[in-house]
Amino acid sequence: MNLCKLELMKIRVSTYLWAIVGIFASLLALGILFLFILQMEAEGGVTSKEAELFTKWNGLLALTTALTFSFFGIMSAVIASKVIVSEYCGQNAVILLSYPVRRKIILGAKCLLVSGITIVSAWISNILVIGIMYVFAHIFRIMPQMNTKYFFFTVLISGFLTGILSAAVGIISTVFGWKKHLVVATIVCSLIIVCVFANCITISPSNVVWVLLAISAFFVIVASFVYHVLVNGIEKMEV
Amino acid sequence: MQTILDVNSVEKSYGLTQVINHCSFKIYEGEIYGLLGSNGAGKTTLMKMILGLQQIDKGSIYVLGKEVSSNTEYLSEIGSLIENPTFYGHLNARELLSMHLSYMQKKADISEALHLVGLENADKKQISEYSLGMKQRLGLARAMIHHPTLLLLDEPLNGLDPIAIVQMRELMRNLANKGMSILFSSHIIGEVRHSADRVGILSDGFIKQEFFVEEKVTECGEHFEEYVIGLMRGEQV
Repeated sequence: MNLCKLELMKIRVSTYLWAIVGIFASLLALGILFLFILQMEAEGGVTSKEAELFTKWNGLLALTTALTFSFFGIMSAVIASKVIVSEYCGQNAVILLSYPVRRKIILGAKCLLVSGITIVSAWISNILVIGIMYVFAHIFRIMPQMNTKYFFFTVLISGFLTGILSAAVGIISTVFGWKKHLVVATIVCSLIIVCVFANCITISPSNVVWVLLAISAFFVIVASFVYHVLVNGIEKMEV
Repeated sequence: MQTILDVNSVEKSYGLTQVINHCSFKIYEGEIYGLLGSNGAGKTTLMKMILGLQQIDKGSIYVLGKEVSSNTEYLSEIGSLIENPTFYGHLNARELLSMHLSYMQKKADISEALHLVGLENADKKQISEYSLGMKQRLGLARAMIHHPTLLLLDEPLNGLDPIAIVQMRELMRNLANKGMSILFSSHIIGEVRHSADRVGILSDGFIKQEFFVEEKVTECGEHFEEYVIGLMRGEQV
């Protein structure tokens, strides 16, 4: 934990806090917009197949979760590129690797920090956005009501899984940035991953938790493999 | 006197280019050892090998009797200033040194270290606002704050003004008098002559000759510089 605190000292925390607030505001705006889409569809009498996603809470949950995953996945890659890629690929590596701490322990602390920030912020953001949407819909009677306990449980689980997914995107992207010695490569890689997998989350809105669980399991396995590749590379790294 | 650093027939190649070739030398307690060599002679590579930043192809390096390998414990006994030091620009000097001490798992007086390098009045200023010379001083403070047994300084006087250079020489002498061993590299003969007790000329990847500065200056007189240049060129003198 002490190493995580030291890693935290190296970054401008306020920059990332503002980014998180910005992402939260964007997600909230989009979430409320989703509620209005249903209203507009209903007034126009249009019932397109795509609109079905906006008619039920599960659909809205899947959409919001997909967006949360996209935003926080990219944010995770941005933090990882700063905390890991630019540290090991720049001049800081000389001082970082000459500390009497095992290289894999420092790397572990860095990954833990990136994952921690991402999971917590994505989880809280997802709960808050959907929570505010739910209260909004309840007050204005926009959406059909749901079993609150069940809904709360679903949001809690899906938010946590979204955090894990987003953190994994950051870790997976890091290895590409590190191999190429490019911060940009990390972010581009995260964009590609997010574009592909964000669509998968909305495949089956009624089973969003199970879909998230399956994707998370896959991502965790890939991220673990990538982490070991990174550890081996950094253990043998010469600067 | 205790041997602090023992570089034993070390070799290092980059592809087909052999940079370090059967290089051997020792540094003793409280000694200032000047590593003199032309640009690209392998001075920085040698220092990085001591720090474990570059792998050793052949030979061995011992720091305080412990072999430099995957073991990182010996690094707490080394302070280093390699190439142009880099810092986290948003921190101030005090925060940076505190962070460094945490990594080194040691405690020390930050104010004293800053005073020694003449940065006591700039300790609250963001490092991004520092000049090149101030950064060099801060790099030196970071290298020595945890009271290492061995100090590795790669061209430490780069970017310093003449007054600061004299102060740094005095500082190095004071640290050596307290028992710290210092290995510093340079390609400037005058710098080594004024700062080092013993000099090793690094040429063709190995220490071509070692001598005590005072003895050699007395022996060569005003031809000292010519003598050293001859050795650096690889001429038999």
